[in-house]
Amino acid sequence: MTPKILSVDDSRAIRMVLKRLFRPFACELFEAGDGEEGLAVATSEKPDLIILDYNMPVMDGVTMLRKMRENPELKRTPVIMLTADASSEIINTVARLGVRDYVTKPFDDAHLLDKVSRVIALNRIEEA
Amino acid sequence: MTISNYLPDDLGQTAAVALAEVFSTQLKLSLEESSAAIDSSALVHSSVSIIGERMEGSVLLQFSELFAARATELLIGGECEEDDIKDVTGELCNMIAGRVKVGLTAAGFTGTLATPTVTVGAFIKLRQVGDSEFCETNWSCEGHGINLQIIIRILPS
Repeated sequence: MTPKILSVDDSRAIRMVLKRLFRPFACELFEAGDGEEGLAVATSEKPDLIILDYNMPVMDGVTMLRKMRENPELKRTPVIMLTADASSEIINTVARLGVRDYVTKPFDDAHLLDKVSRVIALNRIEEA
Repeated sequence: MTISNYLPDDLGQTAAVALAEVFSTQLKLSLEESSAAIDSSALVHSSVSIIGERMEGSVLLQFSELFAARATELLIGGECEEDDIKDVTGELCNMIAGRVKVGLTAAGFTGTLATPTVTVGAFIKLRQVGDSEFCETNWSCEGHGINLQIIIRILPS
């Protein structure tokens, strides 16, 4: 089954980078520009993985994560944080909310692809 | 006391390392430190504020519109629109500010990053207020000038 990936980032440039990055692979990529939109897309598309920014207008990444964890349909959806802010207090906060991995901007394409494939593969094993 | 007293490297060095890392990792470009100030009246500037309980500050990145278009092309590929150029410039500054903030947090100064503000116009110089610490460095990349300024003030307790 083709994996669905949701990119939630207020930077259109980052969303475009991810689109270019995942284009050669058999996956469906969805986009959202803030946490509120991200929740709506996640609810309708049930992605296999969410790549989530931290600092966004309207609804930030942590608030979106909290709301996902309260939602029975989304609480187990794996999340990789992709953010410029790798401060220890933020890493601790999102780790407590069950984030699978953390990639800091600037990011290396191969490094992100590796993390994405590992998280999707691990999730499929857990669900089998 | 200035913020550099609390950092492993001084503020200017912290910002320079962040800038070089962002350019090399995200744009695959190398930088050379330059003594020349950037020479253009048509600059794209991006600033990100860092706000904490014990400190506040700003990171300002500016370069020519030509280089902004080049960076955008490198990052997202293909033809780019004006909004893409502003978005990429803002994101680059955001990444630099994020790296600087990691250093500040490790030194005990927690805070949050504001979303980037991007404008176009003549050269901007951050104004040093009170006992804030200010660093400015100029760089050259593919023949384009890059200016990075950072200002951090420890707030009175």
